[in-house]
Amino acid sequence: MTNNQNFARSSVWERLEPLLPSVERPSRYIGGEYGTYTPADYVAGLCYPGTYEVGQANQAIQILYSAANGVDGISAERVYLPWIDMADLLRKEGIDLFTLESFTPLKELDLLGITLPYELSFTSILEVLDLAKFPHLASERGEDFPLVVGGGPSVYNPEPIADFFDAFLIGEGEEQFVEFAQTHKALKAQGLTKREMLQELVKIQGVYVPAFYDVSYKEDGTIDAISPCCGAPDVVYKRIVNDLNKVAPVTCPVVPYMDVVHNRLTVEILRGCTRGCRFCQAGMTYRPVRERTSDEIVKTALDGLRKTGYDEVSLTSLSSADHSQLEDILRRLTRQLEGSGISVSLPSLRVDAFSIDMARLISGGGRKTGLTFAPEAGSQRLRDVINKNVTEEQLLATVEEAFKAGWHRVKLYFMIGLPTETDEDIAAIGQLVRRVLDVARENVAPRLRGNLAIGVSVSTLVPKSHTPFQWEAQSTDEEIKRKQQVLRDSMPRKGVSLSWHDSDVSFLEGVIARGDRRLSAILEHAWQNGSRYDAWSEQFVLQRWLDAFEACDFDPACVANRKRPYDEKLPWSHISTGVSESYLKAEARKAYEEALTPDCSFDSCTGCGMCQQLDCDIILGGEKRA
Amino acid sequence: MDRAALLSHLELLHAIERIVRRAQLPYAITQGFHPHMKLAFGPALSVGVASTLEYADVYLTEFVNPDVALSRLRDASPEALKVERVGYINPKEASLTASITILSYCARVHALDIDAKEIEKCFSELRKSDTLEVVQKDKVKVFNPALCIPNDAQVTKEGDSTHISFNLRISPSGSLRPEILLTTVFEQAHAHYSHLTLTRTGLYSESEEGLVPPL
Repeated sequence: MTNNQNFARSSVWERLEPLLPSVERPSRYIGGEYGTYTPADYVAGLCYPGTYEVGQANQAIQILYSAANGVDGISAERVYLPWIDMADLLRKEGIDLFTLESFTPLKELDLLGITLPYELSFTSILEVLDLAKFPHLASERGEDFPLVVGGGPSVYNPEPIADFFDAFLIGEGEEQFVEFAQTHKALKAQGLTKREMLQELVKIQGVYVPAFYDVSYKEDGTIDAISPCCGAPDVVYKRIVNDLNKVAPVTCPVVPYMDVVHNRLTVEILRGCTRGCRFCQAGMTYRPVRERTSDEIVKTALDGLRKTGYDEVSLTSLSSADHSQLEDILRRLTRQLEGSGISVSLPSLRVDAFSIDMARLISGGGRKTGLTFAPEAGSQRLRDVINKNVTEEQLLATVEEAFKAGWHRVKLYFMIGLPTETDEDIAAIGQLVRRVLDVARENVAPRLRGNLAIGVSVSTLVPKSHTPFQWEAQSTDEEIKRKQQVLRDSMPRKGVSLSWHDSDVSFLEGVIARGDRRLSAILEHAWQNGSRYDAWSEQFVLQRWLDAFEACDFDPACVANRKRPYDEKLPWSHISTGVSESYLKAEARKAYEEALTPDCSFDSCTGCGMCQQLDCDIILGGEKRA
Repeated sequence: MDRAALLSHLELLHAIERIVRRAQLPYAITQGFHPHMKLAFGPALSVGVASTLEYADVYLTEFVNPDVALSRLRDASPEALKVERVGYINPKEASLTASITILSYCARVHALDIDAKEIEKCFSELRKSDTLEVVQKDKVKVFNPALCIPNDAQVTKEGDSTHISFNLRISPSGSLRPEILLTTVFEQAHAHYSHLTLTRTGLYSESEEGLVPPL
């Protein structure tokens, strides 16, 4: 079952095996899938702090797994958080959390990388550490424990979990993680202490060692200063891959036995999005736009399908319809895959006729499941505030096109709680949905009108760090509940399926998203109160968190619901995406002026500062944009 | 226990489909809105039940030399699901999976507190009863024991472990699940044990010559 005997590491398999028939979905824990690697002398764990079926679909882990295992003498092994039944059983039996490749207890790894997918996963990280029998605080983990590093989408404000990690890798990891692991391996061989090693590792661009920064607070609880020491830089700039075409794409990811979410081959066709929606953190953190070439994408997709045996390939990115060669890619792929029963999918569409043409191209004469569009706001005024360059006419024309082409289901995403929002703006969501429904009804045969369905999903704005809205107050829980009522009252009753986010969850997400280091004690308390798997709505209990805030004498509203002055020192001000703070301020002011900013991938430079700061370029169709 | 024993029937089915695609065999697909591979798999295995050999029907659109197909399938298989044999079936005859009617199992029961003869006797008595009423998937199902359990069980002891080998027949009223049968036998014999592992050891067609492997 394992090959650990060559490397003086142990395996928990013998003790785990008898437990498996008694747990829910045991295929989460068996490993041995097609595409896995065998251990080397240096092992880095790659942990997704969630279940196997969610984490296995995580593209970042697939990329890092492939990159690290491609290096001699280093192996990467996957770690997932067991579901509650298994976690309880592991504790009862005294079995340490393990890797899936060799069933090595995490304590015996050299490095443990944990991805930070979402703020509500933070208590699950504490659960991972506890199941591995690691002290939560990095300062309490001695030389015998592996280095614990974090990275991923939520790394841009790592302060709430800073005390639990030895280091964070800010930015894109495929080159950075490998460099970090190789350097760490060499430093370990020299017999250095953890602190000595971190003093060397912090020299790698994008490495943030929280212990090397002292944070002091003013009397009002805001931050006074963030002072680096031990050779750490004043500001840690994110790491990026300058040209995606120079980094080998993943063509043979681990192919799970289990029916995981997004159970298909994914090919990342471009990275970054510069449409500039002012609420969107990903739009700021993944800049600039870098496309893979159509030749590379087609080759990767076909090669990946051959190697994995999947029956679907998804062309992923933040906005796949923005790829300058998308039509060429889809035509070539659908022609090559004709008659194979293998389908091509696009995860997101723009609100325009081109998107419908592309959707038509990949669905062929087959099933038309549903299309999703994100106008985000109901009124044009508010869409201008958030810089969502979509007009009502475009949306209605797109829906008309979609229904004429044979789709009967459309899903629309909106947000409430946006800056400057009035009740009229919220009621405008209902009015817009009504007009979409009218257009849909006019464009299908009368016998199909009963099948029409408009899904409307309404989330709450959670202002995120590194966005133009990072200084904004999040709407209070009461305000959101009231706005949700305005929304319900405005919505057509028939033909619409309305869903909205739980305001309690949004509130907590808001507290963690912009919290500082004082949050770590609260996270610890909440975990002790039983919080884990908070991102699963049936597991989320707000009271555990309210008790934790009270125990720590902390007012969460000061973080979530407070508008900050532009000159306030923010907890993440020593972490930079490359986008300048002055640009974010200018964008925030433009929001109040309802002024638009164009997309720099297609228009002139908008001055965010990224390309100059990080010495990178927008790359479209294999060419640097002039 | 092999880890493939922990896969659900659907997981196993998808794993086989992927092996066929990885092997680049010219597989046939169904027609319709949602085309998928034409593939049939034998009687489902419960999660936790291992198997030494399983059969699947895969429909090809053109001839591939069986040796070549086997080699490609083996290269494409994960360690826990190695393809062992391939062969062509006359399309006018019953498919492999349709021709299977007898399923053989072996249970290894640890620390069983009654002896082998008593288990054999209990099996034999159960076969002679008129009906067998069991709860499967929260539903009460009634089986004809003489039809569902074609032979007596063979029971041997090796140290702490008792090995019970028995056959089950797929009947028109459905299949009796082996773990349910064992539970019934142990209840009737008032037997206790620490744990057991169950393995499907064979799948057979019935002919005038007796039990024959379908391929």
